[in-house]
Amino acid sequence: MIHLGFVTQALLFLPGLGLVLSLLITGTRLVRTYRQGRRRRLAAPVRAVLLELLCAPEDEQSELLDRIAPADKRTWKALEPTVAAMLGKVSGRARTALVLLYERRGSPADAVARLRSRSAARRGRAAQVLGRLRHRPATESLCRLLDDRDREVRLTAARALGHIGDPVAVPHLLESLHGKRTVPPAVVTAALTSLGPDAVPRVAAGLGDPAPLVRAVAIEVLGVTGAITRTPDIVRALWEGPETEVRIRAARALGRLGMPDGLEPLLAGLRPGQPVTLRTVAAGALGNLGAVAATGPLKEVLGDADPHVAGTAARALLRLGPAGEAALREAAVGRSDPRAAAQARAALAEAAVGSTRRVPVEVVL
Amino acid sequence: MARVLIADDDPDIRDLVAFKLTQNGHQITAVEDGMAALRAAREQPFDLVLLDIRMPGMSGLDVCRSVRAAPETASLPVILITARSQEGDVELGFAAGADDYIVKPFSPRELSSRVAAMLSRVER
Amino acid sequence: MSPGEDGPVLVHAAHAEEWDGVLGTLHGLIAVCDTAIIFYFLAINSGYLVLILLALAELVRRLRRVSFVGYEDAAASPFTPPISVIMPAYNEAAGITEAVRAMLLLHYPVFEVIVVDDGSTDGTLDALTDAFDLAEVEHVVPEDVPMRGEVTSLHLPRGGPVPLVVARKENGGKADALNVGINLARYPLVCMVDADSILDSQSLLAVAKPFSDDPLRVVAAGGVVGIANGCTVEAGRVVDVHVPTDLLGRAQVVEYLRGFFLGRTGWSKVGGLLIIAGAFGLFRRDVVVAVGGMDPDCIGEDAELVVRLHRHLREQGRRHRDYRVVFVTEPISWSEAPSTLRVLARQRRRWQRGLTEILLKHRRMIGNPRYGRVGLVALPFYVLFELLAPLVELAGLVLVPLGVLIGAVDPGFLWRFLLAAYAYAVIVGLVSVAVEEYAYHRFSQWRDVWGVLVGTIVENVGYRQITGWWRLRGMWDALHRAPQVWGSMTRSGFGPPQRGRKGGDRL
Repeated sequence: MIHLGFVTQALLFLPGLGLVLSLLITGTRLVRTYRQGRRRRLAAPVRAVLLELLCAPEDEQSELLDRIAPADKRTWKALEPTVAAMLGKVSGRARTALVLLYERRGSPADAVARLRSRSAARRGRAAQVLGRLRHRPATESLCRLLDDRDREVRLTAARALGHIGDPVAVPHLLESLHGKRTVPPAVVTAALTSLGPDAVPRVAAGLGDPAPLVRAVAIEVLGVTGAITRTPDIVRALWEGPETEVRIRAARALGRLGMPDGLEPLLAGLRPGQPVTLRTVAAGALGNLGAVAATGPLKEVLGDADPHVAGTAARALLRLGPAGEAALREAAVGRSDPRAAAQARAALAEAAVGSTRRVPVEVVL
Repeated sequence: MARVLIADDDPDIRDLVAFKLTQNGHQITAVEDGMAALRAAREQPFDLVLLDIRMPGMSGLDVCRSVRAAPETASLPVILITARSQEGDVELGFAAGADDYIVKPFSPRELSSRVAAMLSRVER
Repeated sequence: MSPGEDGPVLVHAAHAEEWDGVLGTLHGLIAVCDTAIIFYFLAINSGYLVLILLALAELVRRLRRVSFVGYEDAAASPFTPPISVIMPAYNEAAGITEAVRAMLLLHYPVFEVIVVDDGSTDGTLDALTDAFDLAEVEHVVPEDVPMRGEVTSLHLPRGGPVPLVVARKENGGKADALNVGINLARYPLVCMVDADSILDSQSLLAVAKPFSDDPLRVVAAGGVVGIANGCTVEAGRVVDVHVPTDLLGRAQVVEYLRGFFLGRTGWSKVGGLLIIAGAFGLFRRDVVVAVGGMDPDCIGEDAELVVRLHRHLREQGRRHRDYRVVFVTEPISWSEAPSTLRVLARQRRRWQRGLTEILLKHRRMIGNPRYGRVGLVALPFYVLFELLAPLVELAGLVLVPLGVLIGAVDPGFLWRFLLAAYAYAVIVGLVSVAVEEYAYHRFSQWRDVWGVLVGTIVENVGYRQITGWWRLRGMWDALHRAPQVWGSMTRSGFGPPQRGRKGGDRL
């Protein structure tokens, strides 16, 4: 049982603890208010110069840089958040000026060194800075970070590589999709996409990868970057790939690429018996493709047992121009299939009010 | 010289725009939310309004609609500031009656040329 | 607290000898009960303290990583998963337009807002029609999850890219309205919000982050719900955070802070999060469809869904590390909390009834190792410290004085002990406030800090006891009507459909 003595002691101790906590609360608040005020005071004069730098013509930049860059540590610490925030808000010459400012401060070199820090938070912050600065020399170190112990650090490294834009990173990014330490496909896709057309040959190499996820992501990226020369490869993936995941992405990519070779495999993907998600995406992709030849098959699935396939097909028909619309009108008054008629009427009604309900092709996470 | 109203909840953008346009010889009024922007636009004459779309409280779109709805400000040129890839913002902006838009991140030079173009269009 | 070696102090040994027979047994029984109550009191507060410390660890982690959360990238990326925001509405004509407008302006690349008007009689639909220039269109609603009230009409805004859908259906209750929303949703993530919740502009980005970071495992994410009372709200956004000036509001602020913010953060850290507030939660649509959507027979359908998700996934053989239900600490949705005792009473009765029903419905999971730490830790904790708390608390109010009266407990010990126990509870409250002040310091002024400090005391002395009574009645409601609730699924509901009402009835 509990001793009376213990309770009495607790009774003395607890209010004391309460007092300490109250002081802690007010203390943190006081310190924070004071620090914020000091930071503002320190940053204010330099901030004005910073704005001047952002708006300056090229020949005046270096003089302004000379004025900001030598700022002492405390001032820089107070100013840096603004500089970092500005980096994401301006483009063109103003951005270049900010990058130069960071370089003068030696920040990129520091950040590269911090990529090897033992603290995950520090590695992540360093990767973030390097990405924001688009510091190309850091590509290799960041590629190594794709295999970091910490998931968020890996993600940040992948995003940073996307910002930097060096196509050398492609195989590393693709590799990070599988294994023990992975980066989610959406993040890799985003990074690869922002590498631009220079990366296409390397991304296309991923089409032959044994891992289905790598193929899926490669296909997706090729579709988004508009690599029309790769259409045959993607067509083959849709025909042959046993993995639904890969085929779904292939269907979506073919819709985006808009090449006539996409028609046949997409029509095959739409057929009953195929997985429902694939059929839905194929229906949406046929709408994107815009081939009038798809009208008949799309009209056929208007009465499909799966309402998602049917609904997507109806909205895809709207995008096929007059032929598609005529098909919808015909289905809307048809007596033979009330389900198809309802879908057709719903799509036509949406079009009539001018609402643009997107065709959902992004059914997978 | 023109009188320009800028409304953005982000102080960095506000200060930057104000700095750049002052440099170009314009007279700037900067406010941080939609309500204040609307009040300012009703009370003082402006030649141009720059509105961030996503502000807390009243959005740039709402301000734009209200500006268009009031007869005395109906012809006031409005440029919207929108974030990259926020789907539909540009269409929504034009639907609300905006004349032009600037996408974040933007370069100060681009900003001033857009403003200049808009002002000269109005003069003519 | 080590067991005493030189005899118990709590129970009067000397007196005990004088009692025998029935009276002696009673005496002993009350003494044991009182001891149990006292230990219970210590345990519940220590439980909270452990959760708060777990939350603190998580918050420190989050703060250190705040610079690379990647919201900017998510906001700019076309690969950020699109979201369908589902907003059930019943007689919300007064605020619905502003709420939808604010919702449409959230920072997020691709999302749609689906308002489900659950047979409102106050012109909710008309208000929306006027504001957004809606036109009625023919509709086909996929029946991925069962619906009760039929969708009578579907409305879309004319001629614009406004991503809004308004469905009008026959009245069927909130859960049923959510099910209609789930069926209408076209995107892979569904976000359920209350029509009267106020979201911060970054909240969708933040609550979706776990899904894009860990897409294979995260199935659901909940966000913090704050109390909007006292805050400055402009056009559907909370601009300044304040603590309400009334005691009831202050006590609730502290309660939310400890229980809903830090408590859930702690649970999320150990993988035992059971409740995602109906006011703001994001789910994978496919998983929600797989478990059959919301249960319209359950009062606390939001919490029930999460428990059912856990159950379903565990029964499918997914283990603790194979899936995640996450509580996101950054984003905030704000709800109006009850400001009168009457409304609060109704709210707490409903909550406790909902909790009781959920725990009864899923009683097979409690203590069952098959459900991992959800079954072994989280659910027993809820049974012990959430379900039974009002019972024990009120039993204490009766038994402890009784114990003093018949001499089973030493009064000199008792008053000291009670004082220490309440002091401990206040300390736990203060720790929550300190953690918030360290991590997010959302309250804007000194008087707000003072307000929460007062709140920590009021919450423990007075507020808890009074809510305890209401919660007890909620439990009674649940048990009383138990056969109806778990009876056949064709039951048409108990009286008028139960609804989340104004005054933040559900959180």
